[in-house]
Amino acid sequence: MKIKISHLAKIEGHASFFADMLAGDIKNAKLKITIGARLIESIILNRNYIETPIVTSRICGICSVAHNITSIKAIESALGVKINPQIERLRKVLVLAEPIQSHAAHLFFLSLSDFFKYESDVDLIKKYPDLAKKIILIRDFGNKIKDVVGGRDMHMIVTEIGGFRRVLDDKIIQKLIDETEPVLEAAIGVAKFFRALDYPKYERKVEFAGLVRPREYAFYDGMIGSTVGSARPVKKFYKELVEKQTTDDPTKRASHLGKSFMPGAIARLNLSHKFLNPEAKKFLTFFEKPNGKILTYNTFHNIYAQAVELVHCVEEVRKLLKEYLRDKSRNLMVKYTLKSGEGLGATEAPRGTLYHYYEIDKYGITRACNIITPTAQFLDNLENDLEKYLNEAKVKDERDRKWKINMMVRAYDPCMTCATH
Amino acid sequence: MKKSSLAIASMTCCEGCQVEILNLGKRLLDIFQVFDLGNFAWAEEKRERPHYDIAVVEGTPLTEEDVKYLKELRKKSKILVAIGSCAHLGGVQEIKNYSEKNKDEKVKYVYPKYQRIQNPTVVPVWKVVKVDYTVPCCPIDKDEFFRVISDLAFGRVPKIPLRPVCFECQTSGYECLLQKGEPCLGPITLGGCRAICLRSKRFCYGCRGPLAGAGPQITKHLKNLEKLVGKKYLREIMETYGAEDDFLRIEK
Repeated sequence: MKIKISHLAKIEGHASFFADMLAGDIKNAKLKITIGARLIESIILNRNYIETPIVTSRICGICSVAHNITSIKAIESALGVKINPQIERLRKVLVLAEPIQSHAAHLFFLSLSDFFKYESDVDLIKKYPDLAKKIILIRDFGNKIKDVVGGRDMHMIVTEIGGFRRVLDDKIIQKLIDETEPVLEAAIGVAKFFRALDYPKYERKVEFAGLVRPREYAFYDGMIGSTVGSARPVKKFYKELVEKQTTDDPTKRASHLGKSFMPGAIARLNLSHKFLNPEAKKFLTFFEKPNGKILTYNTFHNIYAQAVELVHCVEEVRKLLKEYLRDKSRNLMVKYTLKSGEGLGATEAPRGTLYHYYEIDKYGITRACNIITPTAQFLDNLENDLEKYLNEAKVKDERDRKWKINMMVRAYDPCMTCATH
Repeated sequence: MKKSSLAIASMTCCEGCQVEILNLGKRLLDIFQVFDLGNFAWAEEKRERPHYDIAVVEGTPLTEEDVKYLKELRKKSKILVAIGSCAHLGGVQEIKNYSEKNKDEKVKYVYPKYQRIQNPTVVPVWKVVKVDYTVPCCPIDKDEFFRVISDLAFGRVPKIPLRPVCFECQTSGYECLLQKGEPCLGPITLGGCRAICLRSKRFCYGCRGPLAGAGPQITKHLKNLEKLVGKKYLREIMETYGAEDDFLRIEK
């Protein structure tokens, strides 16, 4: 028997689910992505490098900051550009604004209705008006950071190779800091709500991977930490990844040393929970061993991990902006000269580690490009989870199966637009 | 009163314009109040309707499924609104049309095995179906979108004033990048974006498309810019959001 759900709703982009059922067992669970190939990696070639981060930003409307900044970092690495601490602080703030906005939307608009089975968002808003208000306040704040610091709430305008195109008045930064207070309170409220939810019982021992940095819950840069083996330089891990077009849809899925693995909020939380900010750390009591090396192997906890990160990110933004004001330097653009080179950049996008690689010639023309997105990394893992979960869970009927499939897919928060680029 | 039905559909793109609609926040709830919403993938399980009063479309019809659905949507909708640079001009993916020297060279770079990847010429929505109104920009300006959708809800004809980007740039007191010697497309691009790029000291790439009726100015301005940065880079600038063919068409 064939199982099919065409057009999975409430995910970023278009995808369908297929599987075979043999004697009650689910086999060959597959997600087929139905988005056109925009060929971003090849259309930026043989053109001026300045436009590269503008174009790659358009890979995704949800994580445009991650694409833009990762692109800029990779190009800076190719050109040997060294930014200063103030530029890094503001870039970190921008990178953190994205999970604030993206997680908030995913938690409420995309994932929450799964816990109450097929209610529309309009009903959800009516049922939980306070929660809805908190979510909108948090999302608006994430977007505001991007607007104020990056020039717009999506597809950054101020960010540039070497730094920022303009310097903000300190008063505007101070105003942002003042605004973090109610937003943090709202984020704590949201995290409490998600702490009380009933998550499906499920476990699978998979490899978690993501950026790690000493004494930091890493988003902006670092080495790649993994629950299999020790942390290694980004370049080494990147070389261990193999991208392959394994289905007839336009995604190139990545495997790590031949196996499926899991990046994203749950991976970051497992790898870096020791370095969460104080308010976020309080939410670790949810787990059986809050000080354990690994907190959870339950993929559904990716949702909860996002809620914890929401709190952490707001705290971190406040900390970084205060540091920015304390440092008196306002030089936000470093000078550099063109030279040829190759560069790799990695950043934690809301859904996991994002890699951009470029080769640039001495005239500043982009000659090679490769981009590996988080969703391309976890699609195989998601299919493996779907198979195991559907075979273990008690499935009552067709409707219940569809609900379970949707819930697992949405727990991953996949971004099919990114996966295809 | 019976509510008007509204579809917000997405072709191949970054889906950022839909996110901007979501970013309307509280005003999105107003839209929910006025319209009966079908097919807004972000907010609901998909409920396809037999008829729409208004269909809003983002993205480029790139796959066969995109084209098929777009034609179907056109047939069953009274008004079709194209939103964002992709639907309006072709968007960043249209760079392929301008830069491919050998057939399939771009698709083969990304997919060395080149299995069943649909690789048509990238076209904006109006080249496939009739478009009634356009909300330009990459991404759309959510306030402008809200104005247009409100106008349509109350039976008014939405209008975007025919002014160049320079108008809002100057009235906002932003520094003129053209005078600084940068290749800004502001004078020949349709305004309404509040000169948002100029606010951040980035010159205009023409993502809102050419200013209608400005043929002679466009010719003159492009000639000047060509002297400034050369033909190759000027083309790259205009191609960034897929606007090159649109500028050259109006110029003629």
